[in-house]
Amino acid sequence: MNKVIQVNKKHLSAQTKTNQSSTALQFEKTLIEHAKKELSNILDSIPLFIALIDKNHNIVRLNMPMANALGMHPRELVGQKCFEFCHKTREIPDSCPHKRAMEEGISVTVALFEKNLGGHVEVTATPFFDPDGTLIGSIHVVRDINKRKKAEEEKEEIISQLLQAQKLEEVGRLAAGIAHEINTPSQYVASNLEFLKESFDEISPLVNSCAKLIQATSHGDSTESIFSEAEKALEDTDWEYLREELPLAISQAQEGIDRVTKIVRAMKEFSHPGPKEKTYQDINRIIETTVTISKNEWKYVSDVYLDLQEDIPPVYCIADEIGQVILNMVVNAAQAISEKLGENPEGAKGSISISTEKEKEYAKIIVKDTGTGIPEDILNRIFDSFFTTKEAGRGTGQGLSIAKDIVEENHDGSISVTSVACEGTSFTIRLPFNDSAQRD
Amino acid sequence: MASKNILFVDDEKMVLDGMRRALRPMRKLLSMHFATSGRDALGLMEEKPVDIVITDMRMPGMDGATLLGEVKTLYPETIRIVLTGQADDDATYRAIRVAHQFLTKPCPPDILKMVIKRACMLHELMAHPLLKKAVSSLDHLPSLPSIYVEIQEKINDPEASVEEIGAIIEKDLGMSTKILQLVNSAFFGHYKNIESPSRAVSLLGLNVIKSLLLTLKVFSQCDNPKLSSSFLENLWNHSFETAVFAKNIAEDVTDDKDISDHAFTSGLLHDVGKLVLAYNLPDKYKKAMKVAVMEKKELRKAEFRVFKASHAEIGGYLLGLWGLPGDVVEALSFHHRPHQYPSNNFSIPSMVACADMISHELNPDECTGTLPHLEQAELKRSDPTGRMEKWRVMCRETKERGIE
Ligand SMILES: Nc1ncnc2c1ncn2[C@@H]1O[C@H](COP(=O)(O)OP(=O)(O)O)[C@@H](O)[C@H]1O
Ligand SMILES: [Fe+2]
Ligand SMILES: [Fe+2]
Ligand SMILES: [Mg+2]
Repeated sequence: MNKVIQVNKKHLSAQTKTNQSSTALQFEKTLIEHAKKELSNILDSIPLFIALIDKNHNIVRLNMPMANALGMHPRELVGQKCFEFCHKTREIPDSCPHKRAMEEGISVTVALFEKNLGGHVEVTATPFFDPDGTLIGSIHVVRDINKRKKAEEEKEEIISQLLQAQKLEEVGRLAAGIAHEINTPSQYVASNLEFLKESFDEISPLVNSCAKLIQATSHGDSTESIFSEAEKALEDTDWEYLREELPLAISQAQEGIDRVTKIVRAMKEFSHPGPKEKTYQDINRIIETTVTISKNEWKYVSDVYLDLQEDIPPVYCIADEIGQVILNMVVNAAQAISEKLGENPEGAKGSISISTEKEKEYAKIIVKDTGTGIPEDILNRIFDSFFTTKEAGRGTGQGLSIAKDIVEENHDGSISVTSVACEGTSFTIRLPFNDSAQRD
Repeated sequence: MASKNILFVDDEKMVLDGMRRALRPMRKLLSMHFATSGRDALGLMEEKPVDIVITDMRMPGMDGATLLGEVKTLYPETIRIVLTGQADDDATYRAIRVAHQFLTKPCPPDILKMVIKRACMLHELMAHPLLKKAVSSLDHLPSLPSIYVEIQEKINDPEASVEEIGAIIEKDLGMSTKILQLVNSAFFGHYKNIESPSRAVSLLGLNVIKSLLLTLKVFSQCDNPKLSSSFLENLWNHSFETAVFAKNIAEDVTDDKDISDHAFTSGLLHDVGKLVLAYNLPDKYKKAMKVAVMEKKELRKAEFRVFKASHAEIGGYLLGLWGLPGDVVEALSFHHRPHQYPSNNFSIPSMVACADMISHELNPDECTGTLPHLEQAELKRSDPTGRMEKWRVMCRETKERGIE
């Protein structure tokens, strides 16, 4: 407080020298009072929280809006430790900008969430020097950034909704394919079961007469008529054929059930893969799941080869989002291959290879296809939102821009592409195994 | 029946293996062949004639619709069936145009067996040497009317509205007048005042309007000065009546709208074979009619004597070539012997047979030869609860209301 008055005195010193009388002194006092009043009025009318804090975190003065926000009179606050009232703590908080401003002599700005100051705020601490140039404290200016925060949160919300919408669209598109992937094995499971039923009907007379034959023999009864019955039953049963086909029918029915189970499980994993927050995930499993549920998208035009490093460490990521990235890559690859194959009455197939590999602190995922390739003049635009070379209904141009967002913004990774026109395309994704905080 | 060559096409070998096993009980009836792609299927067909093709829809390379399209042009008598795991995809709509039957996976084995049995019967009928000879003596088989094709194509466009379909009909002024006349008749209940084809489509359903259009067009294609106008008029009236009656009967036994629509279409077209025969060979047809009257025979028996085939088989054959739904093709072929049609229940051929008989009973003067005769077996199947009597009353009422 005293220092501030000193400043005002200096300012008024020219007048002080010319008016030496007591009235003059009185006048000077009034002037000072006026100036003081003017200053606090000005400070009080600024719709920001302003406080002067000394080196030891004591509040030297503060404006009315700030005192109001803290629910006290400025008089009650002067001389108190700022952190006790602003942050309601006994210790100096880590985020304190004052400390750094004091240490480094520069203006420091931090964003905080402080209930006592009205929510999201941005605090700037600017070093404050006395007229001799000695550092005596800092001026705190606290801005309300709730609106800005809210807008940012809304934007994030919109982005996450967009992501969700794209995902739902993708799942919708996949749904028909998944139905197909379930209906096909169901067909041969049903056929093989029918065969088992018929075969049982065919075999049972034979087994019955064999049983009779055994019984008669063990009782020492005449077996002649039973024997010829059994002989006839054997003749009527195409055992040669059944002996070969029955085990196959059973194993193919089992295989069909396995296929259905696998796709249903993959679908469940893909549509609710668990936490929306990052956790350590098996990247290979995410890839396998995605390849399974998208099978109907690629199987008519391509084979998929997986070369996944078995002992790759888990990746700190949101499984849901990474699955979506892989899905976009696979669908793009299949579409590029399909386009290259064209009419294709021969039923030729391209290939999609996906590999994972540990590369220093990154998981490196490569998705490579033998599709059309990407012409050089558009290579730098493919990650743009809504950039597409496909007709409506096949592409919306969002896949890669969303993939880039997920990989780079949300996971601190990188995504890059190389392509040779007419030969194929290769996308490389790098995802850090660990959280950025832990890596530092 | 000679054993039929049946070809299964699916890119999944397991589906084929399963099929082979499940259909083993039919091995006396079927000689089975398998192909894992459209190309292989066509290659195989080049080497040996195939009577029935059952194909998957989505396959690498050539898909099922394309394959059946090829089969339709190369081997028009082959029965074409789709068995698909994916029922909601535009390729499926394409398939409807080239397939006689449309089945979805997983198809229960007993249904599959039934469908195959019917296909065998149908093929047997269509491939009968006598029928083929009869057909080859016909120079002018009516073609599938282009307006029908146009509407069919419009339906395949999922964006198409009822108005657009109405607009196609409106372009043909004569047709649209006739259609409106028909739908406003009391036969269809009490709509009256249906002023536009699109309104007719939304009230009566596209299937009904489509088949009216098809039949009207075929009748006008077969307008020949050598045919008496009373012959054409009687035949049209009888066809239309049979269609309405068959629909009534279908609605009495089932809630399935597809069945009642197909019953209507089948009724409308059931005697189209008469038209085709009379149009191509009017003098011979007059002779057949004379034989029927003089010898007090059913007309179809007289036709057999003269042409070595009756209008039922000829009509079925024609619709088979056009690729109309298998249900309708079968109903036509079997409408005079529904008891021979493989089915567990009262089916469309029986509905048409009953409707046909009732229509003749109600117009005894217009029937050439004796009334069509329904096998005892068939009457039993349709009449366990006195339904036949009920239908007679119902149809008479419809007719009286229609004449009002
Ligand atoms: N694997 C690929 N091969 C060839 N071109 C590709 C490939 N992946 C992406 N592209 C190109 O990048 C464009 C943008 O891709 P994307 O953002 O997924 O949108 P969309 O697939 O909806 O068009 C595509 O339209 C295509 O031209
Ligand atoms: Fe008839
Ligand atoms: Fe008739
Ligand atoms: Mg894409």
